[in-house]
Amino acid sequence: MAEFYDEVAKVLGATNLSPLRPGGQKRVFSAKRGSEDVVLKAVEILPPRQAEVLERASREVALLAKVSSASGRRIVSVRSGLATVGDPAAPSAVGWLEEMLDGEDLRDLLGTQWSRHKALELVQGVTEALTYLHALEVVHRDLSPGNVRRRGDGTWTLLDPGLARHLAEFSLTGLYQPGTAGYRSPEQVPGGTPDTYSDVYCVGILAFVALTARWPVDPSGAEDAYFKRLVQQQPVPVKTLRPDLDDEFAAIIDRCLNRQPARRYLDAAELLNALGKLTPGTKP
Amino acid sequence: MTILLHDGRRVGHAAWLKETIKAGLADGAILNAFATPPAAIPRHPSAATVIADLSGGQLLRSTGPEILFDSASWAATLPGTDFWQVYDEWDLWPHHSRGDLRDAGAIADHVRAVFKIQSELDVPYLAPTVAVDTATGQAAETALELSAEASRQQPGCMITLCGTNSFWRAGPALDAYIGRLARLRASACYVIPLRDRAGYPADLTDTDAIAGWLRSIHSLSLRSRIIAAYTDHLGVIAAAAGADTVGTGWDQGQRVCSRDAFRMSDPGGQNINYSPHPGLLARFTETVARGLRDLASTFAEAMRWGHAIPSDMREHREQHFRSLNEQITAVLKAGAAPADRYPAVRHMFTGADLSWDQAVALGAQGVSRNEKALWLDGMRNGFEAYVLAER
Repeated sequence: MAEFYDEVAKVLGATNLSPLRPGGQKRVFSAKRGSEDVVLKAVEILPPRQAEVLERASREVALLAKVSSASGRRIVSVRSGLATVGDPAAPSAVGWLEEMLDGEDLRDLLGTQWSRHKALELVQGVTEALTYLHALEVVHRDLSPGNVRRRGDGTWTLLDPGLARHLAEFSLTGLYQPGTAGYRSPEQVPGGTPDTYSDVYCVGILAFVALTARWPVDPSGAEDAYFKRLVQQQPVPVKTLRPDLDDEFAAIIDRCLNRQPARRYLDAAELLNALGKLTPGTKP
Repeated sequence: MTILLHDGRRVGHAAWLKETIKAGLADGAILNAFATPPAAIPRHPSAATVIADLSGGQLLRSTGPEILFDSASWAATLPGTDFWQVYDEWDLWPHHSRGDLRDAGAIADHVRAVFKIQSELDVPYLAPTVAVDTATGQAAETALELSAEASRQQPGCMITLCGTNSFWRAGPALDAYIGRLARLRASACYVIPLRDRAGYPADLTDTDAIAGWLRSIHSLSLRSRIIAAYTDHLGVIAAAAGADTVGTGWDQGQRVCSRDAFRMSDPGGQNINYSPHPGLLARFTETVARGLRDLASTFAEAMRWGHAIPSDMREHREQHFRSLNEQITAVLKAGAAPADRYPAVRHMFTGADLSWDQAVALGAQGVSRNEKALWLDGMRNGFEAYVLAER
């Protein structure tokens, strides 16, 4: 019996599937469509969550199609519409194709203290990508290293806005919050209300980790304790761990990481504006 | 620093507003729907008349005194409010019953009605809100929806935030809520600390609530002008946290915002003929002021910053506003950023603390440790808790 992702691949005309991420309800493969290298994303829809999964997948594809062409390669582009397997009204699986990115995931690049120049490029790239989402009132909500990739030409690209929530369309506050431990904002705790400034906080985390190889808020231990630290603890100023950093860049990172959302940059456009006033610095 | 006078129901109020603004003791007024009617009623001129009188025919949005109209929806939706004589003359709920904010349509209609009135009065757009007890929950969401809807209808409008002590002490949940409000990028925030009890000075025993109120002013002031409504002598610490404007007046109901002020049994109209003693960060009744003067005239005069004890209502009003202005100006002169102003406030507190000890030692009637706690300790503790959290 064919796996659900094989059925999805068949509908999309994709061949040569090779797993990129571990299995689960959502499977990611490198694939070929004709001569083009693509990424196949396939989601199995099991009861009772069909409506939720279908809606999330539809949202992700629609969002990608909307922003990727405008983003100048800052957001991964979609290469197909949403394909369904079985009854279109109640499909057993859905899937779509995205461009295959060369380069490396950010998660494979962290672990040492980066230079100021390299960290600034990362922050600028991710922030620029976010401006396209925030302009549509969309919050990414999972700005973790697994969702950020440096292309072969050095362009930082944002992946997987599938957890994004369109603020105007979905105003329910759920107890469940998506996100990745270590890369959550204080609003991404149960009952919290993530907004564009939450993504700004997460940009601050990426910068902090890249520059210091340390967490601004340690996610280890019990989840409840981590959540409590997130909402109550102000991260130490980045210069505490990187005294060589210039005051201007350090101040921007510290402001991104302010525990109080009103004191951060409210969205990516504000942050990008502040970054634009920085001196570029020299390459390492 | 801008000083705005809150509205009141007493006969003669409009004339006193004019007199005080004309004398340069205040910069404008905040009319409200419970005090000033849309059309004249016996002994109470209409809002349009009051505004025309105050502005002397000038175009309000460019020159002349600043005048706002607070629809006071936050008061109209408080349990126990029952003084509807003036309020119900306004057409604030055209398609719904009073206080009905059940859905987006009702919210939009109410905001539209408020803005229509403000447009007709030619005053800036000030969004309506409801009072919030907690930073999460239905009332908090409704208040946010009102502000968001107002910002959609009139981008850059002023928004209103009215919270009780339990709201201001909500810690991280309060900060999260303030973040959501900040996202609206309002031109100004009209911030009301709603007290559980009437009485002057306001009850300041809830240190966490004062700290949360100041922290919120600080956060919102990074992007918006802050009008610290019903703040009066607390303007000293509100200014230190980033407030640009302080709301006050001559009656208790103008200086302290409490639920009682919107009830038939309102004690808010009580005139407060207190003699300012800025050296003690306090105001005393004439009897107490004279008692202190009789025991130590030089010391008492120094505590009044050289002013004589006022002898009539007009002098009381004048001294109150002059004293408030001088104190707040001293704080603002210390620097542009809140952190630059903290030392100036602390200097005031330290001086007042020593002076209070001296005053208490004199044994004057009405100048005891209890009064010190009422006037100084509560404000100081709240301020210090706020400053400590800013480190």
